[in-house]
Amino acid sequence: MSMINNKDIEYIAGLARLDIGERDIQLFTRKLNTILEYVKILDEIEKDESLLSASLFPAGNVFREDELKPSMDSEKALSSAAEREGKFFRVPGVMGE
Amino acid sequence: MGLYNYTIHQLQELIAGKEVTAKELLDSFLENIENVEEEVKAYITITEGEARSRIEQGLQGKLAGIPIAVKDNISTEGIKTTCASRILEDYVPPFDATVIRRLKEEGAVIIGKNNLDEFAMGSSTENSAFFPTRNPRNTDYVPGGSSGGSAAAVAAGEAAGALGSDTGGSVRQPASFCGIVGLKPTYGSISRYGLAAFASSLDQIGIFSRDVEDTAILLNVLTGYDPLDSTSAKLQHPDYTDFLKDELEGMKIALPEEYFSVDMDPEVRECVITAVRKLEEAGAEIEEVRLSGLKYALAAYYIISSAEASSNLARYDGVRYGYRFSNARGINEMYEKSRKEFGDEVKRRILFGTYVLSSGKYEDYYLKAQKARKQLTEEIQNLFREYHLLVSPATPTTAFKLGAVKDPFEMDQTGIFTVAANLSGIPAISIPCGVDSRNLPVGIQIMGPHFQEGRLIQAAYSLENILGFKDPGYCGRYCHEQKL
Repeated sequence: MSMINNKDIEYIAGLARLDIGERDIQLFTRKLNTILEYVKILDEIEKDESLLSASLFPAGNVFREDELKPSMDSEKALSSAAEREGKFFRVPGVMGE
Repeated sequence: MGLYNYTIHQLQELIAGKEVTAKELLDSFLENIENVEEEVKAYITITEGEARSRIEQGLQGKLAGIPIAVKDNISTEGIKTTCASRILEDYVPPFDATVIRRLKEEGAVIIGKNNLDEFAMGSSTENSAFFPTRNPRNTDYVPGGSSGGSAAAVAAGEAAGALGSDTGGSVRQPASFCGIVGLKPTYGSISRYGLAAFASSLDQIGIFSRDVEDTAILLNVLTGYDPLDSTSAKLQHPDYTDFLKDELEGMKIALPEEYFSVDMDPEVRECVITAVRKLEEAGAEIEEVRLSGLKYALAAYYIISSAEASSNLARYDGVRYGYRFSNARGINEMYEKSRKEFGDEVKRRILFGTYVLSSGKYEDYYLKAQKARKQLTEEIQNLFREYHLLVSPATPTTAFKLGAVKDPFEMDQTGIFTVAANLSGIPAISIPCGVDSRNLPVGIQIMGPHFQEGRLIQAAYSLENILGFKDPGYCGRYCHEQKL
């Protein structure tokens, strides 16, 4: 298990769509390395694929019928939106950034 | 003694006997809030108006007129639900969580929304974006967290009971620090619909109360299948008040050695061991056992909870609700600048979670953490083939002073005794078992097999009777001068 640097943090922040600013890049690099140091204890555990198919919970997957049911009224759902247009959430341009 | 110092079962009797009205009850709690809240700061929002209008409509049910406080990460229709975050500072949800609906159906009165560490991430409630909460037993100290506001509200007589959420100990640790009862039920016992998700495979709504009887009463109202939460269990829950009996004879209790051998406050160890001896004197069989997987628990918890948080908190993007940065030139800038409003601790977990799930790291971290989780769960289940319950301290120390633990990561180490129950999904309760030399409460944790909350209640109720520890109520800044 490896340690991470400022460049890694910038990359991860990009993946998480998180603006952390120049000031905090070093701060988070340090903080994450502290945790990575701690979780090294898991190095003792053997790495295998045995868990990929195993469910941790007795319930397993829960399925339901695909039935039409009433859901939240759209006016209610839109009530906390920063910006809306008719029955839609309005956002800044998605294309052509 | 003011009505605000009574337990829920005492208040139920007074209401049923028409000795007090719901209005008198609410007035008593509000008056006490007026007196102590400035110092304790348990609430982000006090819902006096809603509470009064509900009482005017006339209330019926098992909790008619009982004032209940709710952690501010549980959705309340028409009442601000902030998660103690700038992101949701002005958010008013358009729906009630299932637990809120159930409380209302039984006539409970929601008295306010409690402070927490932002998005339930933290262990002292100092990490709220708004203000810290203080421990009512001694206000120089933290109430614990993340449900610190809920624990403080009950301990200070600002609510008769409260709801919190427990992802790694966030109900049991503050209950222990504040000297009250805190239950994290089995994963699936209580619907999580309407709980702002932190780590979905670990999160569970929990209960704060003054004594074990109140826990059983609230559990009866809150448990049950909910089609809106696909992880809620389809099962008939018993009447949990049937387990309020003084009976330890034949109860086999295991003490996992690892819970007592780690670096911890010797006063806490002493206090818990003394309580264990009393369980033994009362007829329980006590045996020391090994739980070797515990050494990986905190690391596994950290990886799994952060990974799930990074995914869950992606929903705070400024589109449908919550804060939006308004002058963005494009959608990505809007996401990035809106999410900048998260506090440092939340950002740290999102970043760590994103890292452990990223390509090439997943196998090294997430997969190993899941393996550790599975092994620990199996080890615990094996212990329950031979023993009825596991007992341990709830936390390695009593409450610490505000500002004393600067590094949030160091603070998270206080979860060492609580996270195993979340990783394995089992129920666990913390009840007060004494005080340390500074007069700060110590909590003992009792854990049981999946869906055996009744057994926990029976053991906790018996121990509570043996110890005779009664809620001393609010004592403010001068608590250390009073005898608990």
